[in-house]
Amino acid sequence: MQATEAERVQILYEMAMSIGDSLELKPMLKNSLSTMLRKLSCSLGAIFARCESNGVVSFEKVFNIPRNPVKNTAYQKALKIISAKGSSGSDLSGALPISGVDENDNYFYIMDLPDYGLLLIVRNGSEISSRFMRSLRPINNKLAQACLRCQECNCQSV
Amino acid sequence: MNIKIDKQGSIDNFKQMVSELANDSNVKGMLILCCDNNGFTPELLDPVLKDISVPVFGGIFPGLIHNNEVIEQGTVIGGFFTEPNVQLISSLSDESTDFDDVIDEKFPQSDVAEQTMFVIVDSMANKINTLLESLFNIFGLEIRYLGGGAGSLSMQKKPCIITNAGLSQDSAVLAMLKSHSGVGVSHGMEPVCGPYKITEAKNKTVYSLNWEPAYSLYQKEIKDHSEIDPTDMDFFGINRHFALGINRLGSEKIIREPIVLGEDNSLYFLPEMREGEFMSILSATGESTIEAAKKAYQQAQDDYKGSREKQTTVCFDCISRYNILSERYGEAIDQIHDQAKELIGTLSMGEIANNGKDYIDYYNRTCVVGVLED
Repeated sequence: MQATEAERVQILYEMAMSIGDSLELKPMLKNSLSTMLRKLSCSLGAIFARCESNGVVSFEKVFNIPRNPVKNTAYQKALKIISAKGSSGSDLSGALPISGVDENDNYFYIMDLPDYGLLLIVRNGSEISSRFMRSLRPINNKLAQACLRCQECNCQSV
Repeated sequence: MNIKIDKQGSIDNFKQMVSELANDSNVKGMLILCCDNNGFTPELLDPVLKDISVPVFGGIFPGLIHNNEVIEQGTVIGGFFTEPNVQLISSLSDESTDFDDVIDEKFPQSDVAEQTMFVIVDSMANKINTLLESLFNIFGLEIRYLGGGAGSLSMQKKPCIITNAGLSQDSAVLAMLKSHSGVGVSHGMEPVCGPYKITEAKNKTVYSLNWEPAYSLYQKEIKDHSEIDPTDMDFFGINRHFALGINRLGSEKIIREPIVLGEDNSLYFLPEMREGEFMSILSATGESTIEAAKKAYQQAQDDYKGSREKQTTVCFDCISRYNILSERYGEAIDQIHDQAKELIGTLSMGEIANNGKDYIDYYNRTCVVGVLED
């Protein structure tokens, strides 16, 4: 079922409006990510923060919906890519977005959250068009900024 | 599944059916569906429910379905051969409850693969969508969800959720079954005009769309964009032809049906309504409404991975679809009822479903079909 251009714009608008309504990271992500999953008909979403120690880059999961996604094979496939790219020291952000599919036709998308980390979403049964994926970039930039503000706020309060 | 039917809706027949199922050693749990017209109250039902030795769950609905028949007074009880894990969720209108924590506590086990959850909610409660979001947060789409809204067409708040604890209101019952199932969802409505932004809303009431009184805009846009002139129609006349729908990327629109017109031209819905969301006005024909039942049944069959021999069909079809189709409703039921398999179901006030693909939602004016291995 194809969405019209007007419907795509509405969906993007609703996702954008759900970002940054709290300075606490987890409540902010719960609202933003659940709206994103609901509007995009996705089955899973996760946010990873980029960490660097002694020149080694890794990605630490900071939030995911649902809470226990381990049985989702598309998620597992995406995790392998994230950990392999991170540990190899290669520039993952240059390769993003990365997409793939598991044997059950569940599609995963790993996207850049600039200066913060990664967003992973999984959609069961049908893929997201590359055109719509490009439209998600400004939303992801906004989400990354909101995550950074929450992080700064948390540091200041500590 | 061992199914018992009473078309009189009497408490004596209810006791008799419960007793017969309790004496069947294969029955490990019961799905109890009652008509609102039975007039069952906690005083009548609670002593019987508290005495049942196996887990029970269900609700009181405006109507029931058995095979190709609609029952407006009566009771349908399905005796499961698999024991359900039944949990009552109370205070379903409470703003402060974190349902993630409540569900986590009630279902501590982590392995939910190949399971089916029945979700029956008091349709008058305020936080139904919040509960569904929490179910998604905890279980994701690892399980199949199937259920609907219980209650009375009178819109009176009254006890309508059935568990072993008795009849309760402002609550939901979650029943997890270790059974294969397939689930299908369809409504057959198509966009007429829109979208319109929900600019003012609180809980289940939308006060304005595009900053105009909600009903005024709804009526005006229907007049401008359809062949039907709503000027001389009352609210329910308009509702027969139209509803509203929320967009999801790549899925059928999620129907939102206004059910009460406020004196201030506001529109009251069964699910919570979110400010900032966009809705379009939709309509359906009799044919597309009947076709939706066929589509839902086909989706459920395609989604089903269990044994073909041990199959029962359970449907939650919206009471509005029954009212709109009227004497043609039998044609819709014929699309779901396979003569070789028994069909039980409800005419519900809102429907709940997920087939492992889309985000779980509380639907209106939608046909939800589950085929269950039991």
